[in-house]
Amino acid sequence: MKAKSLAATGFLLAVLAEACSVGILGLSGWFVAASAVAGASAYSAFSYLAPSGGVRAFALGRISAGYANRVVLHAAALRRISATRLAVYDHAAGSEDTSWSGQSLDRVMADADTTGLALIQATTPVVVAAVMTAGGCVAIVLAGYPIVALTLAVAVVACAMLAAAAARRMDDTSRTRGLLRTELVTAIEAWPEMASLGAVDQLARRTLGRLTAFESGRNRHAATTARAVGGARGVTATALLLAVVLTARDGATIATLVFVALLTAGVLANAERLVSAAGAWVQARQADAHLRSAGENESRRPEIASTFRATYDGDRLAVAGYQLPETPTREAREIAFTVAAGNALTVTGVSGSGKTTLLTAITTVIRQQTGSAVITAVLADDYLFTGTVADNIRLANPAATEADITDLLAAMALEHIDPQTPVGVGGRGLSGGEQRRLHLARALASQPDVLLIDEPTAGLDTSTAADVLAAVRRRLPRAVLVLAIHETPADPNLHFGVGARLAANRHWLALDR
Amino acid sequence: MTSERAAAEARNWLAGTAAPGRRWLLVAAGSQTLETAFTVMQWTGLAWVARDVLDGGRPSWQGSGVLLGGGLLAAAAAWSTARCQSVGRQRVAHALRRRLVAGLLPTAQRHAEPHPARAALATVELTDDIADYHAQTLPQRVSAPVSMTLIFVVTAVVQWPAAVILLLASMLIPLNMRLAGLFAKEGADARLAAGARLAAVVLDSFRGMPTLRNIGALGRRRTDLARAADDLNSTTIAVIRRASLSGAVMDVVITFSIAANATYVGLSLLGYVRIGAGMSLFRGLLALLICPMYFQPMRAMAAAFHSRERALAAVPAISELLVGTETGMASAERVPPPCGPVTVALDNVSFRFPGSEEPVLHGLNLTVHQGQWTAVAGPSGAGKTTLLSLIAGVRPPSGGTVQWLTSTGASSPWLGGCAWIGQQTVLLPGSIGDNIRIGRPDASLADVLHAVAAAGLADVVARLPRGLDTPLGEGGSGLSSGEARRVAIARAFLSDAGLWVLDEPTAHLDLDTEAQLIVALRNATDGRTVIVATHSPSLAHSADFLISLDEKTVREAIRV
Repeated sequence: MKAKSLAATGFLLAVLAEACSVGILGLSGWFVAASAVAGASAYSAFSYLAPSGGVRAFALGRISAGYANRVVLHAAALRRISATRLAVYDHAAGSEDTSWSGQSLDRVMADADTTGLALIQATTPVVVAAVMTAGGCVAIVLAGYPIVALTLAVAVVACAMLAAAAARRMDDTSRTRGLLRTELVTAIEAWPEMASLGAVDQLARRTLGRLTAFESGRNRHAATTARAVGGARGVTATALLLAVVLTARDGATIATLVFVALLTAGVLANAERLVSAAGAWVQARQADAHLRSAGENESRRPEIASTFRATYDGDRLAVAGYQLPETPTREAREIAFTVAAGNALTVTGVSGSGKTTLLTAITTVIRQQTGSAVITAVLADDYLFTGTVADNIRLANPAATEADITDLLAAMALEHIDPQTPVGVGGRGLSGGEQRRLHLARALASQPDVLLIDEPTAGLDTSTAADVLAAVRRRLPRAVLVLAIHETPADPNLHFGVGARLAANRHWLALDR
Repeated sequence: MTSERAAAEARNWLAGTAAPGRRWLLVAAGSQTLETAFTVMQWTGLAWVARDVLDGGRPSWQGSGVLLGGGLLAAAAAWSTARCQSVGRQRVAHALRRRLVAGLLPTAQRHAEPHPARAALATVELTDDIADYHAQTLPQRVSAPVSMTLIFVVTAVVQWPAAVILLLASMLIPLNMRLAGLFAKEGADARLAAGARLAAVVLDSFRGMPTLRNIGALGRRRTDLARAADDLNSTTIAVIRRASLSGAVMDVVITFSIAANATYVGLSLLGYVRIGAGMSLFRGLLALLICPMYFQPMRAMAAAFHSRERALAAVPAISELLVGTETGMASAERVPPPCGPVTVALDNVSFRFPGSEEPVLHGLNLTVHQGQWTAVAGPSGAGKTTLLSLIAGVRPPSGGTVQWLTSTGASSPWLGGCAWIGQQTVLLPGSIGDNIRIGRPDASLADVLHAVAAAGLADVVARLPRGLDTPLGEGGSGLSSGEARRVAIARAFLSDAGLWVLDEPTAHLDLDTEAQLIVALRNATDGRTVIVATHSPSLAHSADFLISLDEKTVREAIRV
């Protein structure tokens, strides 16, 4: 069933359950009052069978509809939570340069829960209150007391207005919270400076002052809500009295009077719930706003310069206009190079010299071009996903057979690892060198035309590194390889002996100088 | 087993945080009980009016008064409950934030390096989750048994057989709870497994997003994510189906009680049944009306589950920040800086943050020459700031020694003994002069003016309407970030330290401002020892020595 119709069914069931719940009390009251009248007169023809049958029907309806609406509404809410999560994933996947911390993820997931549960906590009470009010008014008008129905309607509208007013004043605190967080970050970063001046007390006092002001603001909002809760309760108490007095004045029998009073009370109880529903609605809206801005505060990679061009036309990888920034140990300069298919380029530089940034920039730009070239980068912070070794390889190529995977592992000198071995959370079940080679195996599985490898020798001894890189070239004879290594080895053959076997024409690009 | 213990510890810790707001929350519980009592009064009024009408008359003033009065008093009690809950909530949150601020901005040494964004999230957002939980559940837990007893007693007084029905129904409740527990347990393991799997998939997917992009697997991963979410949803629905079943049993109990009560009252009034005291419409109606109220607190308690989950999730993030910060909080008197020029000697220094396995610095030997500028360059995360913090005495090294050598001897570093300027200048409320005097409130006007001149602030101060006494706006508004940085230089100058430790002092400034600031810094630190961490080429080039920090140690030191 579609999420929308599921929710609609849930609403319907919730209304039914509430109607039965009000009905059972109203009918019982009517029955008790009618019995009192009949018991007082000597020869009464009053039969208790019909009303008690009605009570039984209502009871059954309340139990079954209550059960069904809980299950259906939860299903709809869960559906909505999943959809929200996927939307956040799509949003994150669509923006190139956002990285996520575990904590911000927790927050996003909690916000997704809030927006989903709003279906139960905000929308349902509103729908139920509206339908119950309409139904209650119609029933009372049919019983012949239009003034009482009018009183009831006015009281419900008054409650709704109180709830809405309180909710409106509960303005969005997410901006205030954002400012406060920035403030705290600044204070924490400024701590050594203030401590060196002996002024930490003043810094702490100011920070606490800001937090206190924020709490007072929240407390004021809470006071508004408390007034709305009390106000709504006062309105319903008054409306109940008016309903009883007006019904009695119009000469209602005692049974009708009790029925109208209990029906009114039931409907008004729903009106009181509007206050908390409005609060939940505001919270859901805030969670929604967080979700829309999710990831905006996360760390970002540097922008790519507009002069930068990278293309791969099947024969060569051409890079031009890359702006290498100045650092304390090096001048700024522009980088350009071409690497023909089947050849390799080795980029060297100490950590922080911009190797990874260069590799990422090339990958990003080429991937954005429409074309059939497959470009894959193996970066130092590559991630292994919870699951088996085979799962990780199939992520790159779902068509990989068991034999392909065994082959790939053997080529990466990982023949001792069974494809069904779980890698553990973040790959922690494997050693550093094994993780590295599994990254490579996974990259090879997608048969890239251009393969960029950051620190291919990290965590591997010289001979294994040589074997592994030779295997990479064997499996991808036509591919352009770009390798980034930590430093220019004094003797390339000693440290990086595989160089000669990678390609006849290999190029070096040093980022240090 | 250990995870169970951790969970128990988290629960205990969570319970402990309620103390500061307990009194208000108990008042809220009292109000909640009063609300129940006044609602009973309201229904008494309704039954009274019904009796009046049955007796052939109009609603009496007394009856109407009790009906309205009960309702209005209940409204007041409801208001008071919400109000006290919110005050209690504020107390709990404030006490927790006070502890966090004391831990994050300690007066003594700072041993851990709190992640600023995470600490801010915990302080601003997660604290509220805990306070909300206490405000919601504590009053409920206290008032529920009292309210239920109250209604039971009133029912017993009005119509004892109706109370017997309630008693029978309540006997079903523990059974129902057991049933609910059994049902929940049965599905809980599957749900927990599916939940953990989804959490892992979600965490993996977002953490590994760059990798997914690199191997072109974003779309495939989305399918995995959707499938894991569906799995969780279907197990959750199974659990909810079972849990709702126990809710349905509860509904059966309530409806049965109402129906049984109504039938008993009706039949008594019709004269078919004769048990208990004389039946009247008043007694019968009242017993019927307050019957559903008896079960209300229990339903409310079941609804608080979600907020408890949220609060428990917030516990580790907050308690982690408080670990180790609440001991040794002795507020150290500030010891003035050492006289004369300082040389800093680091011998085989290593540093590891508590709880982390990887050292940040290892086997580091370095001499920071007196009266010279030494710049530290290196990639982000190489440990520049950590090195600076050891030199400045923010924290002691894990291994090796850091010493300040002066003409009078050698000493371990202490934070008040040097000047530190960071990336962000915090200006406190007050005038620009107050901000310069922060480190030396008793400094003479001549000294302050000297510092202002040294920091190149003289023009700025001359431009301000009231000179040094010009109050600064919120967060130092009215000054540019370059000018704010000069205030930092002036106050460091005024503290008269022989050693200056600068952590990226020109970050976030444009090139012109940076150039001017470097001149001001060189002026102000004439003859003093300066160590500065920076990414900025122009700042590095203006230093006397340049150190590259890489792979946890000093890679090379060159004379610029």
